[in-house]
Amino acid sequence: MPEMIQIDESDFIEIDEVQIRSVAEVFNQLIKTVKAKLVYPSSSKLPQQFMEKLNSDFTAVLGEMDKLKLKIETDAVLFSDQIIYRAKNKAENFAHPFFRDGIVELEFYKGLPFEELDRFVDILALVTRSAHVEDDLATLLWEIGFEKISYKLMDDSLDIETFEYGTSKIKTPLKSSGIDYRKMILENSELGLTEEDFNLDSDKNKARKLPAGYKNVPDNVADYIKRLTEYDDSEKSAIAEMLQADDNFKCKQYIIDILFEILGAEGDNASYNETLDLISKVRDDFIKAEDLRSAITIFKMTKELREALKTLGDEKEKRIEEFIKGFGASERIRILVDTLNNSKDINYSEVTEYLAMLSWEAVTPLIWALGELSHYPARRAVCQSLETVAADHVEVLGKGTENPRWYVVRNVVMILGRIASPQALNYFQRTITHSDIRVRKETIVSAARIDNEQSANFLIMALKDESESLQTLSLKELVRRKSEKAFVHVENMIEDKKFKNRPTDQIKEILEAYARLGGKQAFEQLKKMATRTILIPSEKEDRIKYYAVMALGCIFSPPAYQVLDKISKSRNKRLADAARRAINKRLREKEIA
Amino acid sequence: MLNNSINELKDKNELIEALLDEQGRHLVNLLHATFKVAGMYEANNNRYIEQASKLRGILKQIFDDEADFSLAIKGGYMYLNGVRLKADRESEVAMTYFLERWPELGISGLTLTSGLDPRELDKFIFFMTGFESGENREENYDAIKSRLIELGIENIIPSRYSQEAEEPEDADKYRAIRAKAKKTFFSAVSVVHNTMNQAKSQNSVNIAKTKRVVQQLIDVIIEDESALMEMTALRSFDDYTYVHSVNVCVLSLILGHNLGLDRKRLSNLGVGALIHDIGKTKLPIDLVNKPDSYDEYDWELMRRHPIYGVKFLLKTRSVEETTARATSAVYEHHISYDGAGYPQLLKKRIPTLFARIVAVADTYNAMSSGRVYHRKKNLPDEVITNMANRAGSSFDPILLKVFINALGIYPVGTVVALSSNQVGIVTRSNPKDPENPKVKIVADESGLLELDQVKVIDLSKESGINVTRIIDGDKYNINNANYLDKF
Repeated sequence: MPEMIQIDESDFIEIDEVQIRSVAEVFNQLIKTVKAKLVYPSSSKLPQQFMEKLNSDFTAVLGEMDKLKLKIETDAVLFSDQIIYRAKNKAENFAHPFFRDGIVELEFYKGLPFEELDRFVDILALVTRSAHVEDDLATLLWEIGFEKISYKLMDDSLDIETFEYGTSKIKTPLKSSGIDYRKMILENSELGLTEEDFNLDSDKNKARKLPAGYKNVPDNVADYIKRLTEYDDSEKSAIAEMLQADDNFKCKQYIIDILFEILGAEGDNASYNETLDLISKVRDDFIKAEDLRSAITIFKMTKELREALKTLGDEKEKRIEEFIKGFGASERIRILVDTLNNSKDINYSEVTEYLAMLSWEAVTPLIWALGELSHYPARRAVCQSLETVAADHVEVLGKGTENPRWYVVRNVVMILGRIASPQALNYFQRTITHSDIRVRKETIVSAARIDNEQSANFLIMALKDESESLQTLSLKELVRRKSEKAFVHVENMIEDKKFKNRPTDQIKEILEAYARLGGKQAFEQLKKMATRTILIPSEKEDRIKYYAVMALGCIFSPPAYQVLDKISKSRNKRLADAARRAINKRLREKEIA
Repeated sequence: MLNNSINELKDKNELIEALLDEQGRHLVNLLHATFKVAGMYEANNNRYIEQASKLRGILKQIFDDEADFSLAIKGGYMYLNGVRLKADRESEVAMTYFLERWPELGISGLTLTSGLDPRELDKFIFFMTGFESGENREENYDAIKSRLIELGIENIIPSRYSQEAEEPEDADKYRAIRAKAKKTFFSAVSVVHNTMNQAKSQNSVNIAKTKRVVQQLIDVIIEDESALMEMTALRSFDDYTYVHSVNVCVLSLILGHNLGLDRKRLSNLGVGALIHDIGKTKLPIDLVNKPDSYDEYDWELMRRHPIYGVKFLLKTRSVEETTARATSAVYEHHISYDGAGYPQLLKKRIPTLFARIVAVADTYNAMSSGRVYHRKKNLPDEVITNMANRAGSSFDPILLKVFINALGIYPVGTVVALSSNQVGIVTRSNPKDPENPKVKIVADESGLLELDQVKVIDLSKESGINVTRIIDGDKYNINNANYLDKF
């Protein structure tokens, strides 16, 4: 006899409440883990940490109760008839994916392995992320064939509009209708068989050892039938290879291949166009699914087809040409932008590769995209591809400098600079005076990339920019180019009354640029500035004197050296120190030279 | 606390069952071995004494826990006090012996009571070893019973062999599976019907719903292939197109299952097979239902249905695995293994695995029913012969072999004439002995039997009865649908 168990009801309820709380926490952790998988990229460690916590929570709860059974309602999840989860609103209803797909009960069993739980969470994330997956939750769970998770489906979950079928409809009355069954049973002529065929013990049939009904078959079939139940080693390995080959079945590549196969076989123009439209749709689907690799494959195959059709010069070739242009059409770029803005795991190098294959007609839509993209890597990919796509159509790209959004203009300017076409300078004339300093700065950097006289003029023009930092930037570039033309403009800056009011760094840069651009020409002026005697010098004047001494170090002439040498021995310790540093700098630069 | 105590009870019951199972197998082995030894040695021979002592040992062990106990056979299994004994390698021979021998003797089991003494046991062993059974089971039982009384053996009581023991132990399970198979089959027909109509009118297809029913079909197939195979053999439906699609799906799944495809692949295969003809919804209805033979123009259109199917699927679905796999079945199911067929390939290649599977199932069902493209209906042996003849050219030879093996050379639903001058419908193939399947006897020389007279015989166990030929049931008013509930 089993021992009688005494149950204290109050204890029981208390334990239940504790359990309910624990289960609610587990479910809450499940939601958090699913969200983490949705939000963070696959490279992030956070989803894994959430998974580990979920796993330990499940292990703890299942350690207590062997089996965790949850009931699902439209907007709630229940354990022991107690609500452990209630959706806050329609938009965030975690019970909905289950209920929608007819899952009304979930059971988790003791010993639930981590891998199984992980796959379960992955499936939840998949159906939560997108309503467009072709499966539903129930079919996905079925495919896994979980050992420690089970679910109950609503009987009417198939929601079939029941069609009038049933065997009652096809049953017939059991009437022999005057058929002579005896004759039928005893007659063996129906299949043209001979008495010998029917005689299982005949010598012929014994030799062939074939079952009744298979007596008159050709020898090859006889051989096939005889060996039916045995699989030799080659057949066994053929089956294994067959399954292995199927493991490697590339769904998307297959679809692309057959679409082009169908296209190649299409005779009339209407069917041809229909297939091309379908390829276009499939390509868009790939882009929406963040699979740029497959979209690239379609692109490449289309281009190969164009090459193959080139010699034909018929309607199909024209259609293919249009089709290729269509890759860069506004609506297509819009799809890509949506994908890029919503993606967390896309491969940006593939994005660049895809975009770089577009024809120049895509330049304008791509400029538009620059204004719409939310993520920096996506904008960078577009910029990189525009360098290729717009290389021969700077005039189209240049129009992007009229874009109302400063960041688009800046990117266009950057691309123009990278293309480094002299034609770009026409657009820089506008951007060098752009209201946004970042655009003007990019213009200077970009103009600097175009090594000609006209671009130097830009840089000189930028010396008058209201931003001192941009003036400095231009100055540096002009020095790098050793622009003689710039010398006089720098001299004007120095002679300007307000020069002494400039920031220290700029004074240093301007004086140094002056020395480097002017060389001996600048010597007298710098010497004057460095050695001028002022009875009570202001701090500003002192500063100019100091950097003038330093700038003298950039002039590689004996007089300049003599002046520095002299100053280095002066009683003004600060100036003497500056002169020594200038001499040292001069020596270092000489050595390097 | 309550949960724990319930679990404790459950554990205890499981423990008792496990113990009885182990003791039972041990007992069956020792009883069998003792009979064998008794057939060779006298009662005073050491070899017998040693063997009988072992037998007494296990009996004592069982009597320690149970006052009386019964060892019985039912539905092809042995039971000790109602606990089914799980045959293992060691006990298989002994169990097979009792399962075959006891019905011949007209007994279905023995009850042993605790008063059993060694002398009684020895008497019983030697009596049973020397007993010569006759043809009549009833007489055998009566003879055994009366002789045991004469010998004063009171503590070993035989029970009479009954029809119940012959009925499959899991008859209820079979019944449930058949009911499930029927329900799922017709759900699938409804799904195809809806899917085809949707494809026609709304230009959409619900893959999830299709997959849901496919998964239910797979569940049934995993449990019992024959149940659904029987449904595919029904030939009298009006809406042939839909039933054909479901048949192709079931047959493809059976082939896939026997090939060893995993659940996910089976699921995708089933979807592809179920909608393999979806392109036909884009053909003029007059063509699909044309009563006359097709002319060249008709054929040209008909040959485009795989392409129409591809275009429809890819227009309405995104390229995910199920769609892509289904597309391969839709596109290539009329392409031969050697690359011939239609649509014509630019470069000949072997079709995908799914397409090759669906091609086999599609051809088998089309030829068997004779409804597709208005060909004549063929009997299963004619179909199998025809297809076997095309192995390696039209069909993948390995897949075809797996398929025919799964179906059997007399597929479920085949109407066969028997050497016993009876007519039967094959209800279950026998992979180990393909020539001798299980058959429902539905007619004899006098004509069709009443439903309550219909019974199932296993030709592999009925000596002297063979299949003599396959016949066309339609010609003789033998409608498989009438006998679905008989198994």
